[in-house]
Amino acid sequence: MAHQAATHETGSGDWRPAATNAKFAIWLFLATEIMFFAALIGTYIVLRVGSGSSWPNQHEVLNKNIGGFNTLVLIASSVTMVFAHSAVMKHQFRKMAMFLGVTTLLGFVFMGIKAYEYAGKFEHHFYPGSTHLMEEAAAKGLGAAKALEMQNLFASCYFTMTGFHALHVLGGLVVFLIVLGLVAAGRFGKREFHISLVENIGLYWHFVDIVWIFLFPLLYLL
Amino acid sequence: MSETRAEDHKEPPYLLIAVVLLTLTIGSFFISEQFESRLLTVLLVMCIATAKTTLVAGFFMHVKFEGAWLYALTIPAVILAAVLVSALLPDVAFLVR
Repeated sequence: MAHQAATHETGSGDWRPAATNAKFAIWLFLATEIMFFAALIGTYIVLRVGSGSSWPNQHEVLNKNIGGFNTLVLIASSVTMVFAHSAVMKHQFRKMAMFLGVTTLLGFVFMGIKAYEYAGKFEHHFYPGSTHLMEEAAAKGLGAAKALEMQNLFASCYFTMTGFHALHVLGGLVVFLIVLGLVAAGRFGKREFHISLVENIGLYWHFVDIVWIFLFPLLYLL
Repeated sequence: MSETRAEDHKEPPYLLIAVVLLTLTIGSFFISEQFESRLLTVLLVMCIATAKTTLVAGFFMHVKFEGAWLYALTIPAVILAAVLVSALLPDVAFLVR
């Protein structure tokens, strides 16, 4: 028990770990990530509900078709990731590399679409601290200060939540590239560490997908 | 104690789960425009998000097949996350506009 995270008894009477130390560690990390994103989402809900009718109409600010497409891309990447994991468990490393490559590609597609979205937001002066929003609100006859406050609040929430999520996607992509590099260099093999690595980055990637599953409806649909 | 490991189980039907996930995503997209009642829309869309999360966590992350250690690790975090959000709600309830 000294170096194993958890153990269980097998039918033959000997003991083996219920999880490797690395898997236990990644789940501990994901538990902290749950808290991190819960804080962001919780704060967003409170600000949104607390702002009432003065909250900007999100459909005018965000393109839900783009958000929806990105959701499908991320779900597809989760599916290819699970196939990569399945392949590595069977020691089919070429197949694993192929699925991991597709996952990486889909991850970059997600980031590309996100970059396109961000560029559009900056082009339309939709970012925290933009005075252009106040002028726009004044032109519409709205209470300029209030409109500025709420538009900026939404912009802050949007960029904070999607920005941190994008950083997590980027982190996952870096590890994917490292694994693909190991495969390309012929240094990826049957070592327990390598197999465990693919399983654990898979867990991380699925978690990133789950976060987006909540961010998409909260920011784009509701 | 009879713990099991995720890899001890038969592989779930990943493609079928993927189709369900894609259908639910498209469904939530259309549901968000279908109902006049905002409360109903929020409830339905968030229920779909929760269902999708259950599928991803349960089958893709193999939570369904893991032992009790995983629940002991993650459930406190989920409870704390729920408490965190709930603790912020009085800020909304007592908001004076």
